[in-house]
Amino acid sequence: MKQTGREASNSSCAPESLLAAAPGQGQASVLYPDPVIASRDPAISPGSLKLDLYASAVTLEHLGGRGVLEGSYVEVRNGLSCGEWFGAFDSKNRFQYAHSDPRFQETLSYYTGDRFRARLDELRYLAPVEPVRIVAHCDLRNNAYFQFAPDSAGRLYPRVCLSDSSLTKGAYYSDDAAVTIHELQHATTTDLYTGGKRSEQLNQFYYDEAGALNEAVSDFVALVALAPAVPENFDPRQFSRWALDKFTPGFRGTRGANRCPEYDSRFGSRCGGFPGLSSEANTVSYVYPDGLGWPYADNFTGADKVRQAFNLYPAKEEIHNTGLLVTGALFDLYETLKLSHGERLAEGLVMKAVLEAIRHLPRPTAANRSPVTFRGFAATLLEWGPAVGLSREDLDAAERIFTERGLVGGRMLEAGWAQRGEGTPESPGVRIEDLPQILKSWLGTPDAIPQGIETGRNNKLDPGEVVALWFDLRNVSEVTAGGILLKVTSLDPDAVSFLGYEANPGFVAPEETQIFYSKINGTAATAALTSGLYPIATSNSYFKTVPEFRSRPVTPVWIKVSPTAVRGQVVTLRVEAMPSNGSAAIVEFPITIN
Amino acid sequence: MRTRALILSFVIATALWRFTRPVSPGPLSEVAPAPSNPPAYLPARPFEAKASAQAVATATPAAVGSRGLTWEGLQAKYGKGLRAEFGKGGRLASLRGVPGGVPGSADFSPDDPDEVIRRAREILVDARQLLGLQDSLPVEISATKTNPASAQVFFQEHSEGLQLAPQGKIVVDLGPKGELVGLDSDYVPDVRPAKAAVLAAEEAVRRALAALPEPLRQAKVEGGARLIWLAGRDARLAYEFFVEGRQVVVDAENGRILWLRDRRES
Repeated sequence: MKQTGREASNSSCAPESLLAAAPGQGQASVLYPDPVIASRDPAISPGSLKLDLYASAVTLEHLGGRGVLEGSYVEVRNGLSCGEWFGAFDSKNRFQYAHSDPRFQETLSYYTGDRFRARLDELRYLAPVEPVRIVAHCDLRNNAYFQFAPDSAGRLYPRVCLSDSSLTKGAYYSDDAAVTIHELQHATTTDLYTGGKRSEQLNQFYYDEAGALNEAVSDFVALVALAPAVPENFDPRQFSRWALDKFTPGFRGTRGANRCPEYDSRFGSRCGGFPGLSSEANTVSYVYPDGLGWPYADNFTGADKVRQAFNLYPAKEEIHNTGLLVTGALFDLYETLKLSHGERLAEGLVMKAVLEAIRHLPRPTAANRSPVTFRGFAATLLEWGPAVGLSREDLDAAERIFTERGLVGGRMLEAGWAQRGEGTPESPGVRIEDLPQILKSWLGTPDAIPQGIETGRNNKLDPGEVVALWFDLRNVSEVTAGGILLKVTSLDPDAVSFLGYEANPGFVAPEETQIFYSKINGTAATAALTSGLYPIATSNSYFKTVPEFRSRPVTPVWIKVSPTAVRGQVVTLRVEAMPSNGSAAIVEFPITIN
Repeated sequence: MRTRALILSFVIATALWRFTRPVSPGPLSEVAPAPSNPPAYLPARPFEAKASAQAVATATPAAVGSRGLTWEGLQAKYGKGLRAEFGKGGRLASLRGVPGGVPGSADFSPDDPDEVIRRAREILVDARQLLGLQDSLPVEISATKTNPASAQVFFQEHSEGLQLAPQGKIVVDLGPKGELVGLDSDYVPDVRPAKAAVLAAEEAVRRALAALPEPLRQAKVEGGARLIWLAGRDARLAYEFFVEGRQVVVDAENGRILWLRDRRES
């Protein structure tokens, strides 16, 4: 058990033997949904000494009756002080603690989790059915996550970890109900999509629209569950105004469901420039697919914020970021349905529509290792909406909203949209990373990289090498390509073949693998971003749309060059590029063995 | 009519026995004996089907069953609106239908796990030929999801008594009246037998930890079930571990890391 000063003064764990005594309800003191809303003070910080002044008395429901935070829907343990045993304990279920007491976070986690999962049960979408274990003050720093974990008997249980911040004193992820609900929703999404298999999830590749959808649903569900608690002068579309916004000094990581990011010049007028894309006008709209990859929070200064966002934000394809567009579309739907159905019914309808759609999403096959797309999800939601009670008017509204967001209809990529791009001077059309130090750190298995630096720094294919390779697809259409699955085939498998699953998550066979690119600018988007006062150094190719592609091992394919490959031989990799918004295109990449 | 329905159900259930067999669980340090009779498991209540990862389809020994339908036959029975995607070798990879298509039996309810499983099995029997199902590579039910709107049944392929990974899944998606609205399959019909394990479990644990970044090498290792890991058609006997949410698959013959993935969702 780890000990800190905080535990030394407040440490208390429940006894090992718990006897049934207490009733099913309890009393608690919480800052719900987060200290900003509880205090009505946007400037309040985790270090504030006044947090306890804003706590509210609430009733805890569905308690199991052993005097700990254990109930029908969630149970809350303490990770750091009690080795994941129960922390808070009271034979009369009185869980009222000061914020500085670690049991405060446990109690708030229980209150949040119980309310949320009880609502899922009421809607008949409780999944998994067993209680989710929430570990407050878990053994992690600066993040939170969900997993299916095995207990000592090997039995799987769903587990959410809510950590403490190491960057800001007094900052606990458990204090942010949006984070708690986001993670709990991962349990539901995974259970519905995989049948509860711990080794599977909606995400297939490190970055794909399936993974982004997973994050978008979690953000959306948290927003809509907490919206009734958000007063009028606060933005109900802001996700995690506490943890993501305040825990990292000098950086705001908050996300949101608005139609544009915070640094859009018309964010303050409810994104008045929607839909639009212009570096000069500082306009970015979360419309698919041009709106993919733009961060939400305004961490930029100066007049050219959109350009700065492009230049400085390194995670354009990261799934928490690309999911923003879907989060916003779903919240648009919720607010529209609220006008006709009222808040509670609208929340129930949209939740059921989303959860039912997840059940019907396609599963991976060898033909398509990552078949879930944003547009596919929207279509599925519209198809199954009637089954959960959406009326014709509701569906018309949903279709209109999804169309505005580019998730339905719109102009599609025409045949022949993709060609071979410039690539790199060393290897036209592609980029090859062959430096062994980098590759070994990426793969984590040093033995898999046979080359030394004699050949391993020329960014070419040499006989006997293992390399990471990216394709510079060029988009000659006006329309931006979104959600592109690449099916890559080696037409010379005796010379070049693909590593297995240890490197290629899209592995199909030694001569075939798949990977996913989030977006390739069309010529129209390129023109909007490269012209005017603040031109951005981008273009209509993958390498120029996502310039950071080369710095992380998330979108390459891993290739093995046969030791007997002939120098000077030209090998061909054929790429079938399948965007979610248009026709597939086949492009061949001839590469000369060095 | 009732008698005919019963006979039909019997024929379907017994036909399915040909490729649904009991499996042995595979803990880290010892192999449990295979059950002598296939345990009958059908969920009593919605959502409880997933409680057992070793759920086995009800089976009764029977004669050789149907060879399955052709694509035209499947469309004729389940709806001409069905759209299919075929993969390599012409095997069925995906099917898509629409709610409101050809219904199942009059007794069907998506809230009734027995009916849901019965319908899913019926579909698998009919699609057997298209899917390439083999008696030597049976499928087991790993989960059933039911609610008033729809139902899904998850099947997992097995080889030599062990679960296949990362492929070998079939998911049958049913509408409110039992209509076939979706089917996805990455079933592999030509799995070569895996070689016997030579790596002791303890050594496999050591290899798993060595593959992780330093802070995790002191962490607790969980899992250790054996499975058949597919890389193309190459089947490798392997151990599957979880280390603080990281899934690590270790080749049981040579200790190579076959797969390493962080399964935590943040």
